[in-house]
Amino acid sequence: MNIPALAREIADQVRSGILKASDVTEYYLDKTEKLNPAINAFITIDREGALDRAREIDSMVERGEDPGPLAGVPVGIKDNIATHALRTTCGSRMLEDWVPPYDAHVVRRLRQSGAVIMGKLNMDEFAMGGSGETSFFGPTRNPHSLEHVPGGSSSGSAAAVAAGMVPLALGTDTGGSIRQPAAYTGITGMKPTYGRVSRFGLVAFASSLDQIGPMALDAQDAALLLSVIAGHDDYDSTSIRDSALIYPIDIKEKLRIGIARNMLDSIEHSGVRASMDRAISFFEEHDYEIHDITLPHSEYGVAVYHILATSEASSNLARYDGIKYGHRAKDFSDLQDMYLRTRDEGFGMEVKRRIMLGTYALSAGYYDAYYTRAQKVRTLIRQDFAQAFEKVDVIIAPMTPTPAFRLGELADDPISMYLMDSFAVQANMAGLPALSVPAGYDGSLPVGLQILAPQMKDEYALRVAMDFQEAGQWHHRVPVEVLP
Amino acid sequence: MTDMEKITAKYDVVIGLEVHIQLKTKAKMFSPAPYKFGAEPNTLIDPIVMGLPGVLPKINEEAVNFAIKLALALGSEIHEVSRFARKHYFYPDLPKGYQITQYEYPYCEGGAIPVEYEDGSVSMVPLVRIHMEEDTGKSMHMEEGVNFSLVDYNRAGAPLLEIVSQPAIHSPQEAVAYLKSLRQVVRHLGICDANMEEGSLRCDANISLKPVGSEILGIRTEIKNLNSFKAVEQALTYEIHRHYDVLEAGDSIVQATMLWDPAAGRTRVMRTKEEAEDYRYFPEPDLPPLVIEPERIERIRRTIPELPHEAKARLIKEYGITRYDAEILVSDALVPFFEEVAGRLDPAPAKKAANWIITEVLRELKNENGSAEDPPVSAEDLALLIDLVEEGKLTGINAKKVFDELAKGSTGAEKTAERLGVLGTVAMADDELEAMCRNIVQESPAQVAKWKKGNHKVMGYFVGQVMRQTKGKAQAQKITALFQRILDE
Amino acid sequence: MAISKDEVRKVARLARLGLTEDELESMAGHMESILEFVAKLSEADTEGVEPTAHVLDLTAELRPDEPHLDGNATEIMKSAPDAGFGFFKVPKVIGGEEI
Repeated sequence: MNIPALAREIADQVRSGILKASDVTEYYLDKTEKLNPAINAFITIDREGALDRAREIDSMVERGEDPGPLAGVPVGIKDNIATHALRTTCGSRMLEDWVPPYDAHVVRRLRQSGAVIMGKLNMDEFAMGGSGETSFFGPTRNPHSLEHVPGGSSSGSAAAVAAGMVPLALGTDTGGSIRQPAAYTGITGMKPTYGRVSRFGLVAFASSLDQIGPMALDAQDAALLLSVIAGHDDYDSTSIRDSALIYPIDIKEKLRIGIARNMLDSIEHSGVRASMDRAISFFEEHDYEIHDITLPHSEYGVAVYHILATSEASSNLARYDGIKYGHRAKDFSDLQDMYLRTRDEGFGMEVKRRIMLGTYALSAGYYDAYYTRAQKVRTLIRQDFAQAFEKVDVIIAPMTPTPAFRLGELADDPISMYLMDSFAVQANMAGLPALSVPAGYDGSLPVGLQILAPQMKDEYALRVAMDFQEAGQWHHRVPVEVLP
Repeated sequence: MTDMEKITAKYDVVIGLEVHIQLKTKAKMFSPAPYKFGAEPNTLIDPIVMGLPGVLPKINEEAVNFAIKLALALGSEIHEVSRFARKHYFYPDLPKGYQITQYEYPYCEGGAIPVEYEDGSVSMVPLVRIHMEEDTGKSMHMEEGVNFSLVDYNRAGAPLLEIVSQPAIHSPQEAVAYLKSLRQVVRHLGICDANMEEGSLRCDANISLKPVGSEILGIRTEIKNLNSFKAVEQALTYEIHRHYDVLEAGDSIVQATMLWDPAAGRTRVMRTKEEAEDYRYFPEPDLPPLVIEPERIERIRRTIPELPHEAKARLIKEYGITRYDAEILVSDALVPFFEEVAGRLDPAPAKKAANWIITEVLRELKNENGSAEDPPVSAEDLALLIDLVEEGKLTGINAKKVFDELAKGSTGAEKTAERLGVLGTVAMADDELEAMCRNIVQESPAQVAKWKKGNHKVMGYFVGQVMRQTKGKAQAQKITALFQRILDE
Repeated sequence: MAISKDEVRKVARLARLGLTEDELESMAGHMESILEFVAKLSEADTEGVEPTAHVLDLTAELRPDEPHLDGNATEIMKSAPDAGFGFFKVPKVIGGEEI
């Protein structure tokens, strides 16, 4: 039996009865169970749940019903998205055994679209990290080189898709957490416009930046998954009305491209630089109207990001107190001691660092110097984009300064790790849609091109990515570590 | 000179109150879960109330409407744009580790509470602001020796308004009058039950003393856990004396939050300023700014009833009822019902409607736990009943019987009276009635002797005899007068 | 930007993180380097710039006042590390915070 790698092909064949969802699911489960010990992409594999669902979909098809646009497509879900009755850990000891009593909005939509939920994907603890190494459940490895990180925080999502364990995965992106691992693993990952996908059920890290998005082998599949999860939700006050996305993307006009010159010029890595030069040549050769643009305040991006994200995180993570759910310390002398020990034991070091910094930034006497100032610079970054988008439809920029680094390489150097997000955080600052599309290789390691668009113009970024991916066909390369 | 007079001769007492009222919406502030006092523990909870990982708040429209209603009634300035913020502290009954509240940008500022005193005079106590927020759950503290507490999250997320007065209250009695007036206003508006025992109205007080005439406020303390009017008065009185003693001894007050211990009759330090929590307020990222459009304000403005003190003044003037009656009608939200009944009366005066409502109707409401919006008998029936009595077609005693039947669900005052066979008073000629009375007097020498000795309670006996012989259809007033005349002859 | 160990201790207390003396030490070092790093924000000219709290130009939508319970209260209680008598159980609460 020939099981396709692409989601849209699986869905087409399941809907038309050529393929059985249960065969597809069985195939991907087997593959996952075989590869997971080496890659550690999944925290929880829900074999029974997935097969039950697949059989339901098969009987729907037999009855002549349409299971939906993702009929029989196995999907992995990042483990910070709540799944009813399926453990949701956030990669943390704090939630090691937490079983949500409800489904996230996106999960409900997936279920309604005929998708088969395969399980929950590994991630940096509470989505804090850029390598997958802060997970309580151990690091995920890059399918292109097991010695390298897959990026993070959506480490498991990226690795699972790249390794062909699932055709689609949901990731979340607060400061690059979908796009950076997508770049490191040679897949397509997109952070949609802030507010286009409901955050209800996404365990909050930094609420004003967090966004759920699709991770897939190519731009069409990413668009398909986004079309299922995008749209207004009554339970999210930051959800945009009329924000559905129509699949397939239908944009005829030739889009104008802006090149983020100052970001490109800052690239020192030769492999990444070569990929970027090649990308620009592609757009020139294909008669795109190209403009140089500048984002003068982008240099502040990581600093702004760090203050805002840690501040919000310190607030969002205050609820983990050992009382209502999650970890509680075994030994304690009184209530205060219970709090201290529970949170000390439940959180890993990177999470504690961020809680500490955020608590400090919000505390009396420092609030204006840090939080308010960061919010003001955020305004400047947004204004830069607003100006740039007056003359271009999309902006292209490098995704990461280097390809994936080795496991442990930056473990003791948090700031260098944070700087890996320099290009990624810009989109989160301004709530813009942005994606990473495969743009070449440096040796065995993939390099990504970033495409950003104005708010609610997610389709533009996807359209340009579809054109671009045809140039190099890098999205079809199978990672060496998973070759049979 | 009392102690208090001695103190106020030397110091000005300055009190500010922070009152929380729980809005009686159907769902909670940011979640669809309902709240009801006294429900089984942890049954009115959902993922949002519990702040489970991943949930998001959404503002309850009716809570906003109620908030606007109060602001309009108190003459506060409503801001078109307001924001929510997070206030952080760790406490078991606070599910998220922060409370969603309004901080830098409350929905309204200014306004005043019209405070009414017992003599009917009214003074305006100005407000700083009112803001919206969510309630916490409740921790049950166990007896000595038990090393755990129990938490019930039912109340968590219930909508609250916090009403902050200016430090413009000058005695514990004024503070109580302020609270009673505020209670009356929110009940009158139908936005809150304002029941201190059930916690739907809660009060914290700031207090300081300054030398008489001084412009500079003294160092203040804040008192929490004031859950009755008595507690407010006693705690403030205690704290005034304590401040006085400290100041007179030449020491200075330590700024602190105090807890009122009603059993010991004293305040205790909960925490000093140095130990104060750093709440780390910041804008709630999950809630965009709240915009209150002028159209919404206008729509709500049209639904605002007159304020209690205005209503009382008008009732007294328009219907000639007593201040006492007006007070009860207003505080029990019975004004619309009263006006409907009074408007239908002919020939009985409105005063009679007030009597009936504050005795019979109110008793029925209290017994049946009913609400003033759904009275036990219709205004039409009650008016008819009162008029029947007024016209002498029904005696007072029988009217009450009819009322009870109507309250039980019977309809039509006249029909019910007919069915009970009590309609119509005894159509007896006055001389016939007098003969009956004289007969009774003659047959009751013992009771007559008591009367002559000044025991006027026996009148009940004489009237009772007539009632028995006429099956209750005689008019008590009329026969009482008759007996009086006969017995005093 | 120097940050003292005592200051770090205070922040850890505020965040209810029970850090050991060693951890406080390394945390101080980390926080110091981050604060140095973010200090560059003071170079940006933010005169007259409004802070961004929300990237979207949205206003709050309101939910109609219709009560609804998902009926998962029991399921929620099941996650409690300690519960009894229908309540969540916590170590004895002394004094404390009240709204």
